[in-house]
Amino acid sequence: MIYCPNCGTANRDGSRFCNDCGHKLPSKTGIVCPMCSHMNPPANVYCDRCQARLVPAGPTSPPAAPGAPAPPAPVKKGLSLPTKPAGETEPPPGEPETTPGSGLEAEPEETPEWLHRLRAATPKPPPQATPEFPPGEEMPEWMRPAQGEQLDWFDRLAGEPPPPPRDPSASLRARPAPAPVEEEPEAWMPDLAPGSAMRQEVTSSTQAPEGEADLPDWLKELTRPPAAPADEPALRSPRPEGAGSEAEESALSEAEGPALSGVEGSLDWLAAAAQEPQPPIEAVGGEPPVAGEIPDWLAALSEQPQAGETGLAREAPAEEREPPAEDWRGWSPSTTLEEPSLAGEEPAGEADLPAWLVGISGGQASRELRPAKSSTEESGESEAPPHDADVPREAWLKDLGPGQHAPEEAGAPAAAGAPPSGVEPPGAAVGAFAGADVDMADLTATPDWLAHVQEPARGAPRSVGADLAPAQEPAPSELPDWLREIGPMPVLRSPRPEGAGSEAEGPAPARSETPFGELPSAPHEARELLPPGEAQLADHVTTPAFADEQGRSFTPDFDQAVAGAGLEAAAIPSWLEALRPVAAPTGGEEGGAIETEGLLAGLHNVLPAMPFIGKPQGAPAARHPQVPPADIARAALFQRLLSAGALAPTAVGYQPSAIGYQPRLRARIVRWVIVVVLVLAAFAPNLDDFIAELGIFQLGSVDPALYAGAAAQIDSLDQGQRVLVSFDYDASQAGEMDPIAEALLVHIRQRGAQAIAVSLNPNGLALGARVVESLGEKGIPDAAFVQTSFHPGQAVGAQSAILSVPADLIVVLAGSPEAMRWWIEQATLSGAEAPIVAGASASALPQIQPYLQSDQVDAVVQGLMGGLAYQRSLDPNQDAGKAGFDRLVRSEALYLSQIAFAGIILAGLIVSLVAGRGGRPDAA
Amino acid sequence: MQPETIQTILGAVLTFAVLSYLIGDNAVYRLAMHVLVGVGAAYAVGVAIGQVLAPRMFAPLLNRPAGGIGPLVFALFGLLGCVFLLAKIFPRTAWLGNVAVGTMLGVGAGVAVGGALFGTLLPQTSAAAGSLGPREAGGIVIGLLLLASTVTTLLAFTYRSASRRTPLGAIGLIGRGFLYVALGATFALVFISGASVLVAWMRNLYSFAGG
Repeated sequence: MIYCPNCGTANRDGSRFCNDCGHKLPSKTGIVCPMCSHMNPPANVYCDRCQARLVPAGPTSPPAAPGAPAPPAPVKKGLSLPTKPAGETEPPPGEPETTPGSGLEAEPEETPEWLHRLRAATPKPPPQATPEFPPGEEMPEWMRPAQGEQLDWFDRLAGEPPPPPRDPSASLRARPAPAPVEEEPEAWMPDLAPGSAMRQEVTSSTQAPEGEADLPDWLKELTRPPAAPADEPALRSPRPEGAGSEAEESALSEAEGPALSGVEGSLDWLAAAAQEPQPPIEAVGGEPPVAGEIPDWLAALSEQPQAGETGLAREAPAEEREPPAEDWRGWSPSTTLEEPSLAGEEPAGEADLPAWLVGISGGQASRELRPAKSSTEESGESEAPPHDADVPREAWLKDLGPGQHAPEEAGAPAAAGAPPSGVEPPGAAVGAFAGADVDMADLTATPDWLAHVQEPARGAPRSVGADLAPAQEPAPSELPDWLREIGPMPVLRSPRPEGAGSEAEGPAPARSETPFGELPSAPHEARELLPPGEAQLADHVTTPAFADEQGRSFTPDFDQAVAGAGLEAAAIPSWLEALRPVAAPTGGEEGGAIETEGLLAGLHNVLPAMPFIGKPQGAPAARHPQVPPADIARAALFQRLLSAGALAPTAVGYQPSAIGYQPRLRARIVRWVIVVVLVLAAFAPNLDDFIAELGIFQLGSVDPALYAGAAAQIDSLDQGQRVLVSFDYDASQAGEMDPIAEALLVHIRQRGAQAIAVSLNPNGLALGARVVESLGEKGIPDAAFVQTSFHPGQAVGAQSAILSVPADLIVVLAGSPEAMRWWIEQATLSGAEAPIVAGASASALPQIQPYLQSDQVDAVVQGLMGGLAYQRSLDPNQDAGKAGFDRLVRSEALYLSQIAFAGIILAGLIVSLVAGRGGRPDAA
Repeated sequence: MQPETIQTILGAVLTFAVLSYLIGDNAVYRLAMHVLVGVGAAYAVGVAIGQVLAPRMFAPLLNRPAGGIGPLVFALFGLLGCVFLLAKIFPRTAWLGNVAVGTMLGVGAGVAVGGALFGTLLPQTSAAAGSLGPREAGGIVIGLLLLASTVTTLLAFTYRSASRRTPLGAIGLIGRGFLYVALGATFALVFISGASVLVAWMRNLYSFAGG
């Protein structure tokens, strides 16, 4: 079968044009399966019957001709196998390589590698122009981007390259502000990026009212104009060594001044706190205010601290503490996230800080995160700041400003401006997220969770909240890590500013150079570099107890990595907690899909409703069953056999090179020989002289049995009797049936009977009319029919005709055995008593013999010879005259053609038997 | 030009167009096929309308039938059936056409089954049984030959894979031989019929050409 490439209709072998649409059919009609010999369409890759591979895999297929147009994609009707070859080419250039529903269109060149790996690992769904929706339904809004539009949030994440190894502030600020996110589930995603809308609104002056609306109510209540800086000098955290002079701080504050001005409406208290010194925080015990769980996304983003500078190790004396360089999150304008050593580098200026960070701290972050500068500042910070009874609950925030350190070891003079060991200035931690500068003077209440954070070495703890329990100063080893972070956290070594501590403070801890967001691959190595005290604390961090303290689930790998990398588990304030993306499933659900790649690695349920990201439409999840090695070996062998092409087993009698209807030379010769013989056999009788001289066949020698019975039946008719004559043959059979019909009609007219023409075939009556016309030309004008009628319905029509037209004799002129059977059966069923005379062609004659045996048919005129002989018997001139001569020639020609055809059939049979199956010629 | 001349010329052209298939499928052959199918379909429609619809449905509906109300009732039923068949054009009303189609199929099946049963099966079975009688000298022989050929041919139509290795399967091979002969004879007769037509037409063309 040849399958039309246009409409997919199956056509007979040898056809050049489609029977349905007329499209030109290719010469290569199909591919014979080497396994089961089943004929497949040319575009099939696998056999329709046995699923064997038809197209060899690999470079065995011949390359397409250069410049040749791509063949049209065939549309198969009823076929289900894919038609793409193994080495399918990519979409033509210029066309985006899109996957419907994935939304991952051609991305720019700066697409990160992880995204490429993700796409490569994802199986491509079958080509689908657009997702199909039932009529009347519209594509939901959340799916629109999947149709080809880029998912902003995704592309933002994908398009953002890893930050280059440079200043962290520059790297953070270099990230472009993502476009506003439209999709609700991903609203939090772009907000994570620095410079995002969420962070920008903290510093944007125009968004102050909106930001205020987003803040929790309790935070809004804190809105107040910033207090005078001199009112609360104690709120300032001790300036670490080398953190810079006051002039720098003022310069930074001036730079951030415009940014902070817009936050007055909502974050005035923060701004005020940033301007005032932060008193030391009174450790009042209690539990951490928040769950204390280090958000995974934050931990991943945070820089690995240097070994030995873990924020958890808070036991080191102040003079041994490394100058805090960054906040608890490891962000600092004065340090980098990747470069291992920045010793000696000046802290980055205010301009390098992210806008949101600068806006929050008002420049205080840079100041607060720097190493402690002077002891005077630190001593000043030891004073308890006045509490503001109006804001009992949020006052602790102000206490978390710079200078609020964990209890120092007794006798350990605090380094100039250096925060206590392991404790980041609370203000710095909070200030990093609180927005504008914190007015430490307004913070009067210390939350319970912060109560125990107070450093015992500071003396009288600062009462930051009347509702707080009496201060208790736990040992530094008992302090939770998140609290230690509040103080100056020597997580990362900052560039030693001028006047910073000498080498006596300790060797510079080794820092592991890690990319942004990655944890050190060998935490144990980093751990080895930790001081003893910090090492113990690092061990504590890796225990479930520590995780419980922080109110989060224990993840050994993470904890160990964090400990080994010297990171501190930081805590975030509650108001930020509300903005934090849910790392764990909400509603008490556990588990969920965990993102393993990209910036979101480790998060749960990051992409809850994005099936077309992780699961491309139409592509089922890949299964990887355990395949035995023996099966693999067999499959490999089978693949090699199929790929071999010529070595593959071929179907019996077919060669791969002879796919399709491509007549070979021998078949062509045979065909032309048959054509010549047929033409000669058909035309030769027209040579009258040749016929006369030949004299092989004599019409008179025809057996009278071929027509005698019919003649006897018609002879029994009386004048006026009705004869029902049925013309049930086609025009293509008229050459054989017309002589029979003429003979019968002439005999009926000679007997004086009336002929009634009926037909079950629409063309039958026309043929009957032509017979009557030809008889008129021969001088028999009375052979016209008395009545004509058409009876459709085959057997039903025959019964209708028999019942409606009473007749004394039924003459059936049938070119096919079916028509003859209808008439005979219905006549018998109807109980018609009229005899039946059949005029049958050579093809219908075998089917009529049983009816003759059963006496259902009384007589038969057999074929063309019988008709010609019947005519000759009725012609008194017989062979004389023109009519006689024509009959003679026709009979002679028929005789010769029969001999020729029989000889051709016999020769073909001998050739096929001698030459074998391989030499079987194509059907002629 | 006489109509007969045009008819002959067209016939000759179409004949050679069809015969061109000998050299392979081509557009001329396709054109001849299209003409044949189109003309045949058009003529059939004309005959159906003129020979069936007009006298049996339109005339009784338009004119008062002479045979009473009977022809009118039949005409109405016919008209209703035509409308139901036309309803198949629209998906919503396609179910109406099932009524007419079912009626046609039911009537045709009933007539055909009855004719096959009482017009072919029973008479030929009795005739086959009667051929075994001693009426003629060759009757018994021929009857037995017919019986043997029938039984062995039926045994040849077994599709079990191990049928050939069984005694019945071996007997079925004989029936397969009868099948070969019968099919070959049928093919030969069909082929001869076509050849006869070809010869006759060639004769006509030769005569038309002045031979």
